Amino acid sequence: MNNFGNFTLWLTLITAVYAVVTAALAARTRRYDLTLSAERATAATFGLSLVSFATLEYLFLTDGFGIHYVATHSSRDLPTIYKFTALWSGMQGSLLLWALILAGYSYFAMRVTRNFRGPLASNATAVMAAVQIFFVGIICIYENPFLLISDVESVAAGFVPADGQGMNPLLVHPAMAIHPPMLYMGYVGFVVPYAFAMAALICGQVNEEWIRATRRWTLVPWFFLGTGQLLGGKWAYVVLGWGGYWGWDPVENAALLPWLTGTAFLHSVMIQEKRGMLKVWNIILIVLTFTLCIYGTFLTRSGVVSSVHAFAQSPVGPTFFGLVLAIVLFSAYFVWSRLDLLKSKNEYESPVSREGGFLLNNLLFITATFAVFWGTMFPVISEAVTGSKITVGPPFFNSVMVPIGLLLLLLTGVGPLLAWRKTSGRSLRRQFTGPALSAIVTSATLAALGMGDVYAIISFAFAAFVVVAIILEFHRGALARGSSAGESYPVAIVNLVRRNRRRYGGYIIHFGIVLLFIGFTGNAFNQDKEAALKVGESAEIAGYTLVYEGSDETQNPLTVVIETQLGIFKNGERLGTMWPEQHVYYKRSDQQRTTEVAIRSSLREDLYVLYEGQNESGVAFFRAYVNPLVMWVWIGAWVLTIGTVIVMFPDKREEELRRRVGMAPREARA
Amino acid sequence: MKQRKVKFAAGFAVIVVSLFYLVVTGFQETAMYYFTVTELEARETEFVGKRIKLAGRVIPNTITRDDREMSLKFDIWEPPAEGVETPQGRRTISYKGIVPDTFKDGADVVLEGVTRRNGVFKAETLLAKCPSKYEGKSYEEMKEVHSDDAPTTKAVAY
Repeated sequence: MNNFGNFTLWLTLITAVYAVVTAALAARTRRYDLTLSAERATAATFGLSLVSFATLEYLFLTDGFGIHYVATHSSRDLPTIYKFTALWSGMQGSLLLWALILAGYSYFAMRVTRNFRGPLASNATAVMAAVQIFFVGIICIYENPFLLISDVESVAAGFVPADGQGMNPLLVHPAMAIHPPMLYMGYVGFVVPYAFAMAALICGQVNEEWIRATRRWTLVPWFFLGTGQLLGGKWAYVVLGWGGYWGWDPVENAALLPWLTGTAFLHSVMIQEKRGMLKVWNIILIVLTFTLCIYGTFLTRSGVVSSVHAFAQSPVGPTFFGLVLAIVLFSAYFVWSRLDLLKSKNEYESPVSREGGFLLNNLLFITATFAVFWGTMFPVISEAVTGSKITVGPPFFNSVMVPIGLLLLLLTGVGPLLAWRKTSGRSLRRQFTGPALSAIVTSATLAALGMGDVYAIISFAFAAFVVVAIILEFHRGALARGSSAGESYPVAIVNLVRRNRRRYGGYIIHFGIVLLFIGFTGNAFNQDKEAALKVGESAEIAGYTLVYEGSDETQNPLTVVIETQLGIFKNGERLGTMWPEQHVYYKRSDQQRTTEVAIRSSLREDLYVLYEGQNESGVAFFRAYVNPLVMWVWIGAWVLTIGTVIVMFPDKREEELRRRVGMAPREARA
Repeated sequence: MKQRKVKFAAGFAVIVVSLFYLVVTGFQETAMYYFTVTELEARETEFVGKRIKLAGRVIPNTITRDDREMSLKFDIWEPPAEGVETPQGRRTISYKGIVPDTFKDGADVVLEGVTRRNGVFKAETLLAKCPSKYEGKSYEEMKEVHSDDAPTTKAVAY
């Protein structure tokens, strides 16, 4: 089996090389047979990647412990579903998944763009296949998952251990099973818009076609990168048990960086579509986004920065850095050589315009990117320059990102209300009165209720502004439809969204962002408390009384579970019972424990309790957190998902537009 | 036309400068030195009483817990690196607070806190590396993994 897997890997490398060559030639010569051949090579690359992936999965599912990678990442006692996901719990397997996702994106991008075959699509195919060569090459040469144990360690040839080393118990969790693939879907997906941007430069077709062709291809990775991070946060929250979901760790930042520039890109392409401006800037943004995706992979794999997430370090670090440099140089060269074609069609007329709003949005996102990058990389930079490492932690990121985030939140409400080119004073008053009033009322109410945190008040006020602005947009649109088409109000709302999915789906995404911010703001009011309790004793936190009612110990095949029972009271009334647990993996030499957090969630706040063990005299140690509004983060994630789905589907207006600009079959058919 | 461009540039500059100011001040207020055990040893006098980050590896069998105080003490050293074959340095850490599941003998930890005059490092935060996979078992142990030795209560209570 391993020889077969190896064979398909090398074959994938060959088809990818073939795809680059034929696609580049096809773009140059416009020959139909070459175009078709490149497309078939792309399909073959995808097919072969699937076969290698399936082969490795087969080895995992059948406990093929003769394979070094399988033996070090799986074990017999792992539930089948986690045997399946164990494939991407290490370096080699996750690279293989990367390559598979990349091949998948290339293939589906190629399928879709078959409607407008031509130099643009062919060049894009070539760029994507070139990235594929890099990844498959790395897998074949440095990180081959199909090696036998005897290839790696000094054991007899054909050595098969009785069992594998298994997966770390902390990783055996549904969120961890899907979080990495989602992040990869995000990281890898930006290759499509990047490839099309490069293709547009290479063949000198720098109109808006590449942007229109890749709008959805940008949304998909943007969505996966964002929700992938939220899932990672959820995992940290429920499994790691430190009471939070985001810690500004370098690895988290690495995933945030391309998301920030990607979000900037999603917004600034709209200026180019509508007004033919910012052509160079958009290309720079997508180059930056894709570079940061690769850079993030490099950062997490190279051990350059110290992180609480330890990944297997490997020789691919420098190679990845080489790829980052190559992408930057390659892209810079083509931007430079096509600079004359990238002139703007229009100029700014007024700062109080949609363009102005987008511009400010971009500026804020770029500053945020810079700040996060600087904070993440400073230890490395300072060590290189001064010889000692200087770090910044969450206080730095919070002090910078909170104000920037709040401005962005406000802009979420303001931007869409501004007209293109310039906004008249009258329309400003008409549009902004309602939202501004609601913001003032909200902040006054909160201050009167005694809320002391200024940032929190501002955050809630801005959130109110944005929500009212969005509601008014729906309301006005529905009224207009009601009077023009005679539809009833609910029907009008539905049709409004259906007719212009991009705009109203966008509003829904904005609404999701507001909910996220409401959840983030809750952090300002977190409380925590530790308690050492004997049975019958109690502790108080934020109005809750926690009564320790006893503990229970059960032995399972792999773990000893110590379950404690806490009665939860508020104002003398019993609200319920919580069972924080500790699992001890007693068969492992390191006696690893995992803490199973007990969480009581409500829309208002989470009560989050950890059991940390007990001493010989029966005193149990607990740590309790009250985290307000956390649930709104997860709700926001769902709203974001719904909004993205709505935006993804083509609406009638777009189809008409597509027909008008003639993105129908043409060229290369000859 | 020209006047408008100047105005744009001015507005743009104001925003950029204020954002830059935000990043720089935030940075100055929160930057912290990050030392390994031996680096701290070399510059100890300079940094007694100053808040720093300290990285090292927990020396096996040095973890002691004070159950009444809910605190712990342990020693760390610098793990062998390229060119250095034996662990270097040694520092005693006292810590009170949440102990992550990944904290154990031999774990790589990053601490934040201050060095006392007596040389003990008083940590206020403790991060232990979160493993993306488990690398502890040897092939010998892998073979034995299914033997059914019952757990002792000692192993359960710490």
